[in-house]
Amino acid sequence: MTAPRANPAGVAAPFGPLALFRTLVSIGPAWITLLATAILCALSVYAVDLATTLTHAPDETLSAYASKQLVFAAAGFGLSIVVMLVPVRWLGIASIPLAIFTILLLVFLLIPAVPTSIVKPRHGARSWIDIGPLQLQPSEFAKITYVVALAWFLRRSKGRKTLRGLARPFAITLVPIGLINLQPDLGTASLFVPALFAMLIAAGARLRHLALIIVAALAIAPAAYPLLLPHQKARIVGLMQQFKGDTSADQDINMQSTTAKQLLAAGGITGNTDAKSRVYIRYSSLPERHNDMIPAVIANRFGLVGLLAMIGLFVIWIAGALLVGATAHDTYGRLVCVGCAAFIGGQVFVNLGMNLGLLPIIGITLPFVSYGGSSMLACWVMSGLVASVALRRGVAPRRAFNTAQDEDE
Amino acid sequence: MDRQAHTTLLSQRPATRGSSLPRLALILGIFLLLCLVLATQASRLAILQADAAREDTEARLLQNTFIPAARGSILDRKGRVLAKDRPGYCVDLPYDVISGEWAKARAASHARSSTGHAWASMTPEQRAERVSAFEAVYNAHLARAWDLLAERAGVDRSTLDQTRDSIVRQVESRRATLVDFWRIREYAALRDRGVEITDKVREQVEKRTDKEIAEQRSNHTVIRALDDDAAFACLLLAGERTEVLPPGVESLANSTADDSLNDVEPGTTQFVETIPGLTVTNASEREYPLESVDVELDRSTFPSPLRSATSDATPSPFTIHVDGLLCHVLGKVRSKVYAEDAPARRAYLDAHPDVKDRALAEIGRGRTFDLGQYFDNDRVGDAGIESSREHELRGLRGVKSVRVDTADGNSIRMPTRGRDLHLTIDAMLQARVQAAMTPEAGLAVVQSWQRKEPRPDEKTPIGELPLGSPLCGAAVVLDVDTAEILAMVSTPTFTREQLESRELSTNSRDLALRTPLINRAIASAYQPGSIVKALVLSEAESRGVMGVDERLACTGHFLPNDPGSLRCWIYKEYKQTHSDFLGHDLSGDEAIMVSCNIVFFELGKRLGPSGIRDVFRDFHVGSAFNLGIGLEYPGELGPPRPDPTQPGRFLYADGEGISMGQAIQMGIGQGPVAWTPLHAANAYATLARFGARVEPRIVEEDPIVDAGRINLNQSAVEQTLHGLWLSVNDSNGTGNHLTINGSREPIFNAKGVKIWGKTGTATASPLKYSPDGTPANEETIAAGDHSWFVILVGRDRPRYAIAVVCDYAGSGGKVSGPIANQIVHALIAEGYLES
Repeated sequence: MTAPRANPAGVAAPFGPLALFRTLVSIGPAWITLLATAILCALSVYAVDLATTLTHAPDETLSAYASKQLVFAAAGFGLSIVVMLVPVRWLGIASIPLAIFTILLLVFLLIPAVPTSIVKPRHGARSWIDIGPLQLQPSEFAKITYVVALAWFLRRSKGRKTLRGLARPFAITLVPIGLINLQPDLGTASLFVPALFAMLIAAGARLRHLALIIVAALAIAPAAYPLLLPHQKARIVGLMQQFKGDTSADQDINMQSTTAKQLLAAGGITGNTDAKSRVYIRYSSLPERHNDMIPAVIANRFGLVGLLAMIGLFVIWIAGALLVGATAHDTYGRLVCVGCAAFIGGQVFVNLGMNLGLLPIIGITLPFVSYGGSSMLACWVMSGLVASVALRRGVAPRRAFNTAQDEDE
Repeated sequence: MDRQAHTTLLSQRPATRGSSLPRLALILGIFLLLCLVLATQASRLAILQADAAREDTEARLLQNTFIPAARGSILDRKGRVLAKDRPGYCVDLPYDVISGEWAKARAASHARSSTGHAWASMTPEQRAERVSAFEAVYNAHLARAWDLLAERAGVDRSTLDQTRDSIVRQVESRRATLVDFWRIREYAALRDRGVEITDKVREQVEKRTDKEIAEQRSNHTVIRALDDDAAFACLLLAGERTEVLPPGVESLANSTADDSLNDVEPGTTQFVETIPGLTVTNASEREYPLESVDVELDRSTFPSPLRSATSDATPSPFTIHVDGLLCHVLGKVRSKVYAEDAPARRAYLDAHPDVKDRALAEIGRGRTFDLGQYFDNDRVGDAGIESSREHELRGLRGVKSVRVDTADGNSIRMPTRGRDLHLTIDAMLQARVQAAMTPEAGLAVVQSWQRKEPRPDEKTPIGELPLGSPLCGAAVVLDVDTAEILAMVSTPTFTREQLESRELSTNSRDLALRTPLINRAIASAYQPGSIVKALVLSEAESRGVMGVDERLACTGHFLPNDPGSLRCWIYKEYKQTHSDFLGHDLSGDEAIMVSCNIVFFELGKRLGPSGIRDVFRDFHVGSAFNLGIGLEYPGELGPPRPDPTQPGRFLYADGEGISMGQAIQMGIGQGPVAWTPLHAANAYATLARFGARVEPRIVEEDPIVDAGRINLNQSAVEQTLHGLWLSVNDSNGTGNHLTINGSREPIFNAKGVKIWGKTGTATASPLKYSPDGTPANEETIAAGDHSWFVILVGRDRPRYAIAVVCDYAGSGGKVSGPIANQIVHALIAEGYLES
């Protein structure tokens, strides 16, 4: 049998060209995830350039934003290699110190005494830490820590089959949600919920329990409306206006949403030429067009076909990650894959929902595509985690089938 | 294998497919389902809405630049320009440049960039020191910029500094007001939420509310009304850059190249705009070329005391400077748009579909745009014709649409200048009338010869204006045939400069007496007095309550047993009756000639309350003329009646509830009746038209409105007109002559014209003033009779109706008569009474 799979340390021996080739082949479905990642990043660099430049200077091939995005993508790739090389278990073992560090970072953001040179509110939220030229968004880091920590907790949690046993994972989830919501960044905070549910499903929680919780949450959701901040309420009211076809707020609270929809629809089925699209995008005055609203830019350039292809790439990424999870060596690895897939999937849905006028504008970026270093690096780390799990699947599927038990049972 | 190794191995057992695969498939399924929702919505947008969206997106590529439109001019009946736009430019600067904050910001940035990496290792004190050194450099740059601007614009530097300081003061004061408002609001909100206001909360609130206001981020005009040349000279400066060197460094140009290059590190000099943020914008100014004019008056036509006084001192003709000509009529424009302007504009467009069609333009994105819509700092008519004809005078701005990507589809729609309006006013006639009514001319001043000899036992009435006091009053000249208003003067008037300085809005005794802002010709209430006798006679004879040949006796007092009330003026002064004086009872025309009260008391009685009410209603009392030049007084008829719905309040006097006693008094124009000089002139013009009513007009473009007829007998009107002719032309007429120092001189001395006229000396309620508005401190500041004279003048038939009134001036014949005479001379001088 092949040595790498039998290696109890779980690390493929990366020695010699043949071994390396074997290793690369062995990650199997992670390949499609990595391939999707690479294509999305290429698309991202082009789309950011499209969104930020009308015409290039003679000696310029990419706009400053697009060049930076290219650097972020390259850095992300490098980081994912590092993540891939670190056994994913080690991260699990380190999950408690990591979680404490993350919580400290999130708390640091909320300390009013921190000078604005370090924590400067953007769009009214204290989400960023400025360290010299570097700007970090701890909530992106929190997503990864959360996936690793919750997976580590759930891998041997006894009580997940009972309703009461679900209390602890929910309590764990409330920590990042609460801290991020205080920034306030309800959008990012809300992404933790699908991740929790997906990981609970994968961890074997009873589906009827989860369904019950969802129904209960939906029932009490309207009661939580008064707790929302005024701008959050305004966005929900704006969305309702759009559903009803009320155009009175189109130049006001719904401006971003209606402009995005218009730009997106103007792409038609096959899109516009590069030059035309650049003009449309520039003069649409769409806010955050290189960032949250990048799907509208892509759809304007490549049309419905391009948008659906991009959605397809995300489906591939998630299917790849789930496939890696399905073939994972252990529950922990599987849960990490599912957690990453849920975060990426949730973010994709919310972001596209915003762009398509189905959800309120809540400042969620499109993974791998929206401009921004923290988001890009976090997404690449997730790709790296999936590849890392794939690299250490260890056991051949055929052999594992019917013989192994779920480790907690 | 030890226990730990066993555990490790156990925990690394492969995951079971059996339990995980369906669940992971479920997760994938959920995601696929969500993707399906997204794909459906994307397809709906991209397929169904693509065309509309593309059209909209294309429309966004059109960039519209608006081209301002000139406001229409206002001209007089002879085409003289009364109000026009003078093309001009203004120079705007950003507020931070005006306030000097710009220098601080630039200094900080330059100090940092010129220091390079060393900045990081500097202490805060060192940094502050370096910044302040740079600040001095940038302050000097700004000072040079102001000098240069003053020089190019051709304005005084000190004027520019005053403007600058005034802008800073205004913005700071506005900011202080707003910050106070925000703080009060925040504290109120906190209290509502039950938050205790601690020092910390207070500090937070202060910090939150201590923010910039919009004015601090916008441009402000520092120079107005620049002509083309100065504007071009300033425009050349826009965008020009000057090198700014760090403190202590000589300019590269002034020192030897090698040395200086060694001293100055690359990147330490900066090029900044010579005058930072300078913009030159098109800003027309409204100009009123005839607001001030000089008028020549001929004293030889004045009453002798004024004629002789000038023979040694001032020559005749002499010049009078008239200020504020037609200010009441024209109004003004303001450069500030109020909240009510936009709804008023929409209402006007809705009421005028043809104007709306022209005003609305497609400017892309499927939006129609009113080209006359108000933008910030647009000029808006604020009073008078400028206000009432705002939407005609206001033009439609042009719009230049340029496609940002290609040259195709560019279009330009030229601005449409506002409509020019011609007034029926003759500006020079107006100026002559106003000149005659200025105190400088001497006619509208309390003179000793205007007063009757006081009886030895008579005390000076409280509030009687002392000798030499300037008189306030009004005069209206109306064309009988067309009902066009040729002149409408109210004195004292005001200048636009006074309006700007707000000196007219203070509370003072003098202003309460003079009320320059009120257009007395249409907005002040006057008892008509004897001038209504002509109207009463013509109506009484037409209604058959008096025969054309009937003669009535003057008995001195109307009530046989009460010689103390309802007396004739001749009885009051000379204990005589007109019947005795003339040797026979009076016919209608003789009653007008001598202005006999007893005859008209009798006619008031015969007409009765409803008859006398109808007489006044026939002559427009109780309704305004709606000329559109500001507030109008419609006139009052009958006693005010208590409002049954609101105790303590009164209904507007509308002619109901007149008693017989009041009807008798109203026969001589006293009692519960009041009107304006325009009513008087209109009534006489209507009489001269034998009852044909035409609404007075002030804008030539307006159609003539036929308002029906008053049912007057021709013989009654002819007798009335004869009475009016006698009043002026018979030596017994009240409007015939002035008696000065025992000798008589005619009131009217124009050759070759016929004058029909009537004096009126109307008892008026005293004018009271209280500095603090309390009744306790109230004093009478004017009392006595209003002096009226209304005439019809023409070469052979009545062509023009002239009404003159002077407030609290006493005798109609002695005060208003000579003014009316000057108006006749003015008409002749302006060519109105040529054969």
